[in-house]
Amino acid sequence: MQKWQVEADGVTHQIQFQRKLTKNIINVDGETYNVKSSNMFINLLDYGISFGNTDCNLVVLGKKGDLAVNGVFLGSKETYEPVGNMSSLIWVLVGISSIGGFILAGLLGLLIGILMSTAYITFGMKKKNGAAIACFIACTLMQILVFFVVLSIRQ
Amino acid sequence: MNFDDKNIIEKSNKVIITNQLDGKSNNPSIISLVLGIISILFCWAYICSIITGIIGVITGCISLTKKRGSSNMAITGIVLSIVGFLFNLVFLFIFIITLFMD
Repeated sequence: MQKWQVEADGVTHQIQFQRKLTKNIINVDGETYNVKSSNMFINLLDYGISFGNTDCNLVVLGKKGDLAVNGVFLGSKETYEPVGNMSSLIWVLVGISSIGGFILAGLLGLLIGILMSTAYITFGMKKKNGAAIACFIACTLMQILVFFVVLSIRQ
Repeated sequence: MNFDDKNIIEKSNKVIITNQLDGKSNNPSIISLVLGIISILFCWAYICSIITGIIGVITGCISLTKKRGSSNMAITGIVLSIVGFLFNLVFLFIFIITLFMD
């Protein structure tokens, strides 16, 4: 469980995020909200929490979450960039790595694809598309390697 | 209930939670493009591209008709899906012929 405290209009608010097996729970000042991932492959959330004049954004990738208060993340101190503004290229790479990995190397390929997808999204959020493409190439090479290993074991 | 709790409850009524990714979905066009690329890449693999090609065309058409996401991406997805589908048919045809010849 991750907790943050935000001060808005002289009142301290508490925001908690908890990732359970199948669901995500956001708790704001004791009120629980069940939220679902916006991506079919990985757990991805971008929720805006507004306390009057103070705007917060809870961004979760996988199990890790960070809260941005008025545009600045409390954890990484980086500027908040809406996940929706991310380049479509990143989502294409995520899809190819996950579905392609599954077709090529089965569940192991899918697992590698999903794990590497978190890296693409992290780089995509930082607008580092070159690094995301490099990760994609590394992921594809790993999946091809697994494919040949599985093939040699079968023969 | 102490004063702090009261404060939190009063303020919590003003809390507005919104999904920033909702309503901006361009998923169908992206899925169509992804499946189109996969149908091209895996056109050698038995009936894989036939399945991905058909789904790619369907999602691309959904994206175009419902105007969800980039139309360029959806059109590219549809074209790649059809090409992958056709390549897969050719490979399947060759595979069946070689099977009968043996």
